Amino acid sequence: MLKLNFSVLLEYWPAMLAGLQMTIKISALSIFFGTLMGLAGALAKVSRLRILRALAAVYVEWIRNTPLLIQIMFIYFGLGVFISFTPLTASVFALSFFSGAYITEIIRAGIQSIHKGQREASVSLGMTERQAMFLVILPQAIRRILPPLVGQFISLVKDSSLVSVIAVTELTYVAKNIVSVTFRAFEVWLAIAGFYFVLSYVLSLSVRRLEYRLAKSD
Amino acid sequence: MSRLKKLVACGLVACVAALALAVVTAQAQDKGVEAIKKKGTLVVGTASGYYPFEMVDKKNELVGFDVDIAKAIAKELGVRVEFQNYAFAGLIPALQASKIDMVLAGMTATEKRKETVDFSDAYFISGLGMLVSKSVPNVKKPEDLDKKDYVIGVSMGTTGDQAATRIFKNATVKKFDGSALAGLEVINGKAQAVIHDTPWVAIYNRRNQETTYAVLEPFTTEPLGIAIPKGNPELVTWLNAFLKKYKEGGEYKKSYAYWFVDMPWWDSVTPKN
Repeated sequence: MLKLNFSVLLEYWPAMLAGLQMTIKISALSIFFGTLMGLAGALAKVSRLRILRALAAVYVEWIRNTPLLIQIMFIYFGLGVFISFTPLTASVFALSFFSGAYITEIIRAGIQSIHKGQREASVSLGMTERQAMFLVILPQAIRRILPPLVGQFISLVKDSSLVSVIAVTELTYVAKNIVSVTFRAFEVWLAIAGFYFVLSYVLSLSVRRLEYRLAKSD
Repeated sequence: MSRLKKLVACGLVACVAALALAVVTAQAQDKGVEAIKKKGTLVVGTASGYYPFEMVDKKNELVGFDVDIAKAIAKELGVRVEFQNYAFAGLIPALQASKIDMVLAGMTATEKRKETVDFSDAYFISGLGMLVSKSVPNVKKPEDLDKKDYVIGVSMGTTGDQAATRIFKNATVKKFDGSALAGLEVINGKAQAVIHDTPWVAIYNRRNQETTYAVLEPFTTEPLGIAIPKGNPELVTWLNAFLKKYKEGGEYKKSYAYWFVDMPWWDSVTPKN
């Protein structure tokens, strides 16, 4: 019978914490750049310029209709033939592009959910189109899309596990490595799942609190 | 807060249930020779990409020196053979989880692994060599590569990984799922070398002669064995007897010549370029 031995977790605790740190770093950077990409994509999608709308659509469709794992492999090993990415840059690049496409659609939906009359009212009050977008429409839209946006961030934290294939020393890589030395698959994977759970759950809790505060301030 | 408590409670219950299930299945499994015969299928775990022991040919079929041995074992037992392909580091966990009956993946019988699984006698003696990028000429021994800024690629969980982790104090060891991706790092100029078994190094080098050279003087001895779950002395005895017979018979020689000497399989596996 297989005996469980959780003491390996204590032994490899520093390695796991280092992996957790790397996961947080990759996720935070990708959330930041992904949101910027998404904002740019959404503004392009609601733009009056046809070329911008078309470019944004191509971007979103390409990313949404190919697997993330393939995108990571392509950027690191494929594009890597021409451009020398470090594994970390390649990961942030891939994850930002990937989540950016989904965030584009989320923000676009948010913008379009704000009644047309608001833009018209802002403009007739003397605001420029840009002021109307950034001062009136977007603040309301972002409040409305907070739940799906955070859902996307949480997906991103979990998807970051895929970059272990390009030898980024994040949580999943560290776990695979520990299992390869200790052969303690059950204990290690259970612990790693716990790490991801805590990370994602804290993220969703903190946003729930933010939402509550925003609702109260209304 | 009660919501959080409920969540934690649910998680605990799930864990206990999973644990109980794991224990029950682990107890129920009998992994001896008779059990395999009764099942009618020998499930062999391997990690393809380790030339020429296990590799996928152009028809997407698993072929190689280990594959021949697995087929011979199944034939001797009078059962069908089924292969399951894992990342190398996933093989021993798969064995522990009873997903496979044995591992034939050019696995060295190391002391550390013997704490977790049992091994047959060696069916092949291999050694570690180096696939080195031409950008770093005149490498003779692993210590020559131990410089800051140098990156050494390995396949995670292999003896190459263990040796590299032990030897390199200044160079960075990068671990991949499989030797093929590690080799790609050298070809793309992101790593200076890969540490892996000599047969693989020789073949990978033959396929990438513009960018790499091979250091084939082995700096370790690697007795490759068949790994099986712990606590089956009768299966170990059976495998050892089988290997003795297999090595003495003509099949081993024929297979050896085919995969390592004449290599008529070359064109059915590698691209023409």
